[in-house]
Amino acid sequence: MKSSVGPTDSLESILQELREYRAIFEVSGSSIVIIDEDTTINRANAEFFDLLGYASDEIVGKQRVPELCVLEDRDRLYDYHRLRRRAPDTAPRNYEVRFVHKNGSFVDAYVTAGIIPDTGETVLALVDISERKKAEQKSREANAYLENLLKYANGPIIVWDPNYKITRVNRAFERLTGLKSDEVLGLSLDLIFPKDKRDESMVLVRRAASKARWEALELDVAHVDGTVRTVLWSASAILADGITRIVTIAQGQDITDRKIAEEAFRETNAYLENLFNYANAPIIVWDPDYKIVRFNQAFERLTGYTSNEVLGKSLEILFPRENKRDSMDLIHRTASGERWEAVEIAIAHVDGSIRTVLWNSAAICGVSGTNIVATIAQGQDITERKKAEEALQKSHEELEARVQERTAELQTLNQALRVEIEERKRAEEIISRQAQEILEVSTPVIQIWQGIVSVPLIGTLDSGRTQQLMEQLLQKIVETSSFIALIDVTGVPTIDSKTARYLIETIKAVHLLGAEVVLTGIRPEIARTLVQLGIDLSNVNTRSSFSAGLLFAFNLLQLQVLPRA
Amino acid sequence: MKEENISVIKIQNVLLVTMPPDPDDISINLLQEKVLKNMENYRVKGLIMDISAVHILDSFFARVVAETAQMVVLMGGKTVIAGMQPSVAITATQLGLTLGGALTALNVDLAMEMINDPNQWGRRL
Repeated sequence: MKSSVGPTDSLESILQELREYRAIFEVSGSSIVIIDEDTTINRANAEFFDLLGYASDEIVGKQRVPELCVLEDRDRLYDYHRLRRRAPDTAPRNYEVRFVHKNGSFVDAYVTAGIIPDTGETVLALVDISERKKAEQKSREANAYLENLLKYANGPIIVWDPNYKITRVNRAFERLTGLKSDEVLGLSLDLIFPKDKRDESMVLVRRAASKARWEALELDVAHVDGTVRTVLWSASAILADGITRIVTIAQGQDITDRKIAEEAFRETNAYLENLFNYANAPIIVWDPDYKIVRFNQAFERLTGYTSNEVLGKSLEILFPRENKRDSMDLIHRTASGERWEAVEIAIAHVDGSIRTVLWNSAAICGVSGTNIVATIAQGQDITERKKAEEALQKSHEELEARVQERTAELQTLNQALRVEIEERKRAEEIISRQAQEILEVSTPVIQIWQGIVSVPLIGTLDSGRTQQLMEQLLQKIVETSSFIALIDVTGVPTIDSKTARYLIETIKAVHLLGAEVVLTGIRPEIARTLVQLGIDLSNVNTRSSFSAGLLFAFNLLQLQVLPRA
Repeated sequence: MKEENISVIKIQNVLLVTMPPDPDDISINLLQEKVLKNMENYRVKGLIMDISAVHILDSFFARVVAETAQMVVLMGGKTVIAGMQPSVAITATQLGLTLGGALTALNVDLAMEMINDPNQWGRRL
């Protein structure tokens, strides 16, 4: 506190002034404390005691001011105090200090310090700034909180001023666009949009900006690598004094993936739709009330109805009258979740014809998975196949009949053949018997006189006949005890070497029995042949004619044929 | 076969031998020996060999018969083989067997005549 004291002032005026200052000191409204050189409190006003909660006699003359401060402020205060003494101009006049209230709470104070001239005392005026400090602290905390919220929010956030210059972006935004925060600050908002959509997008932003806030505006955002992300934006203007727009804050949601999924879903849907519509097999869908809800083109072809004609109608119209009930029974069973596999149901065409269709069905369940929302059935028109099968069956039967017919014919033929074979066999037996007979007959051995047998040979001699001849001749010789055998070859057309050998064998055999052979009927041509062949018949009696042979035999037997006397 | 089974009988001036149905080689040799011995002991004109019982004639038998016939001829007699079966005759001719100097006769009767009457027809085979 400064005062100018002139030598002319009277004591009274000085006292008056002192009283005035004391009053000021007491009622100034701010806390004032006067401290000694060693910082001990010398005097303080009521405000000061109220501020820190101490009574006057507790601290005046006893306590140093820095000791009332928080520990970390004490050294600073001592420093200021010392500095003020040595170089008053460099010491801060105003500073903030945190005091400790007697009850332990902190009291922030704005301190104004000054030296009382010509004394070692310092006067400190304190203004309580605790509330302000607290508010500041809170504000700072809120700010930091918001800052973090902004910074680390998952959704991209962008803030721009009324001139559409970007003032803030967050990390998610950086990720979204690939731009660094400091690259975009102060630049125009339109750079975040794809080049070809900038104007259009800015128009949208401006239009939306006329309202205080807008929601769910879909705008494409360009990434620096060229890709485009679709983002759903919500924005809100921050207004100063409720009218003037300071900044606009916009928060986005990247829905690109959702868009892609939606697109894919739409494609799948379209694909399924096409599949359904253009499938070759008739497909029908009905709801739990058996009303037709879908009907594809193949079904239109099958029934002759167009899709529009039947949608919403009962399924019954599809079936021919006569088996409508059975068909509907079958269909009612699907309501309980039954599936069909290859169930045959007839379908009526509008022109009255009936098609046989093989059906497969499946229930389509709702989200809960249990309630049936619709049933889908897919058919296969087997009318043609049925017809073909029937035709096949018929032709098969015909074939069968024909085969049987032919079999019967063949059996008859077989029978005839067997009869024929039988007859042939019999004929063959007859022939062979006859051949045997002929063979026997061809060599008849006759006893023509006591002691004489004869055999006339007719036809060609072969080994079989020779054997036959030999056996019969020898047998007859033994049976009749004949000495002479007459073999007549008049009936033999030619004699070759083979025939001659057979004859010689026969003759030798007869000799072995002890009988004689006379070969008769040697005609000139046979005689010639025998000689030319060089066949030796020297020890065989030979005669030209049978009668000559007979005569020779009689001579041998010493018989004589005489005319009756 | 035993020796006794083959009998060589002298009837008047003839030796008669009856062959068993199936003679073996030993008896055939015995037969030859016996015949030659009897030819020496008795004065006979010849030998009659009755083979009417024989149904199989083998080459050994045929050879012995032929040799015996020749031996008898050398000793001044005749051999007549009598009663050959037709089947044996057929086999013999087909095999080409010969009986040497033996004569053949239909039966023993004729064989006897043949031996006693040298002018009677007869033939050496």
